[in-house]
Amino acid sequence: MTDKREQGTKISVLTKKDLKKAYFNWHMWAESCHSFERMQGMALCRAFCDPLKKLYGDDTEGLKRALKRENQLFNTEALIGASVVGAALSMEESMMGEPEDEKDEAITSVKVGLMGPIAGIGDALDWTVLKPIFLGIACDLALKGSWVGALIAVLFAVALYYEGSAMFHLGYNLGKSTFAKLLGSSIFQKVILLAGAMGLFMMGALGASYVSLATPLEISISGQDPIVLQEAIDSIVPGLLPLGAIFGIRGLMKKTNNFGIICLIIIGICLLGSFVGIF
Amino acid sequence: MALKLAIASALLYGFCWTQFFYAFDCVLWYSALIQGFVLGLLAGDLATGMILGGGITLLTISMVASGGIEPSDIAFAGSATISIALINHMDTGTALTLAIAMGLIGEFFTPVCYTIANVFPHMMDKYAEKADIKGMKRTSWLGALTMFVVSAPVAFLTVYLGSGLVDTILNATPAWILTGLNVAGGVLPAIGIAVTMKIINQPKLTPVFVLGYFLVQLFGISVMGAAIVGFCVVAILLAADSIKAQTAVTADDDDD
Repeated sequence: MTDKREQGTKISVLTKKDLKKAYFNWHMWAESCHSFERMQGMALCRAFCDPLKKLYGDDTEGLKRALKRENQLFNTEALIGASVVGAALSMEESMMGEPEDEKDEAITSVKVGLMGPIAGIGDALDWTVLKPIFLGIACDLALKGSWVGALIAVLFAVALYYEGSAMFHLGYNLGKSTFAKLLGSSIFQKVILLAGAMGLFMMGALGASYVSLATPLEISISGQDPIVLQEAIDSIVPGLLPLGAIFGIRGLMKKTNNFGIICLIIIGICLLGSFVGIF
Repeated sequence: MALKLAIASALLYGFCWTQFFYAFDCVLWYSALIQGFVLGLLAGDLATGMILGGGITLLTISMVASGGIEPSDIAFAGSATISIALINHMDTGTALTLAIAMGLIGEFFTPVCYTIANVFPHMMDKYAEKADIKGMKRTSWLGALTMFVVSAPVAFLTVYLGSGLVDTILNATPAWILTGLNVAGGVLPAIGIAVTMKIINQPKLTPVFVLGYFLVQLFGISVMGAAIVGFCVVAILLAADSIKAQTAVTADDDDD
């Protein structure tokens, strides 16, 4: 199925400035007023207010219908997911003049169909990989008492804004058909895999820097100096206890996903260890 | 001091709930790094503020609000804990434990806000019915303002009333508990790391994690230095992959 855009018959109504403003509004309101019922629906509608008014002009009945259409349930990751928002806007533009029923069906199905998979990619890339890498570096500086840690967080946020902007324009320019094809290609999987490798590497580095666990235990042998257990461990594999703690918690997560319970178990073990004197 | 920091915490937490500007919201308003910076500056102890903020951020570093629900209210953990810790000169280990408690308390508050927020899309619907764009725009501001007004007092009361209690409680606590909490403070950052490993979910790449760990552990290089090495490791993986692709050209490449 080919878009009108690809056939070269489409006249662009929305200017670059309109698109920039639409993305700004999407970014501004994406999570604001997030509700159980519509989630980010209200934000999408808010971002489309001005473009739709421009597209519909004097057609108030059509505008009403379009505004309601874009105020339905929507939820994605707002940066890479901005591409879905861009694609929806491009459809609103390219389907101008077609029956509203058709638009309801086509645009809603693209939004609902793409929001989930794209959110998966966005969460995997932006929040589970990029965020730990950059905030990890920021935390490293912050834990040394430096304000530069806060600065890095600010720079990271600015970079994310532009990432979302690029994705929004990509979605808008590709239109829905190419977009769906791209989503199915292997390039996304490759990016996620490599980004995951980088993320794991950083987690290792952070773990070595900031997870600490040591034991004051001593083994006394009659007639000799007592063996300090921690020194013995350090001479074999330094950092074995913190590494054990990380993998222990990783193992614990296979049993339960409840953050609170995991925290309580750790604090409980530490208190018990402190009471009997092994920590 | 307690009043000043309580007000600052309330403003920070309330602003988090407006959720303005997605990336800034997730990385900045929500982040204990920024809260530590602001509250530390106000308390006249920027370094301690940053250390507390860094510790709390590390703990919650990989939390992703999938489907909009956070496993713990990071914003509340940061804004309330850092203020209370600064007022009471708490040590980092104890503060981290407190942050977890605060995060779990705050979590109960999230559904309350999301439920209140249900009102606004319906207001939006009504304005859409009239094609009243101005009214719709007003609704989103009203929604954000409501979230602010509902959430800010929660942080204010927690810091203002809580900071007085903490000293009394800590003084009455036996030494082994304080030691235990301090040990926990050292282990708890491992949660953030383990969660990230779980979410990245590439068991085959575990050696890359171990490489990063021992690189820092054995040679003591900085995290920033490790990032550079990590980047090179990934570049090598990518190069190896493209060499493989060159020797076996697949139809897949035409799509890229």
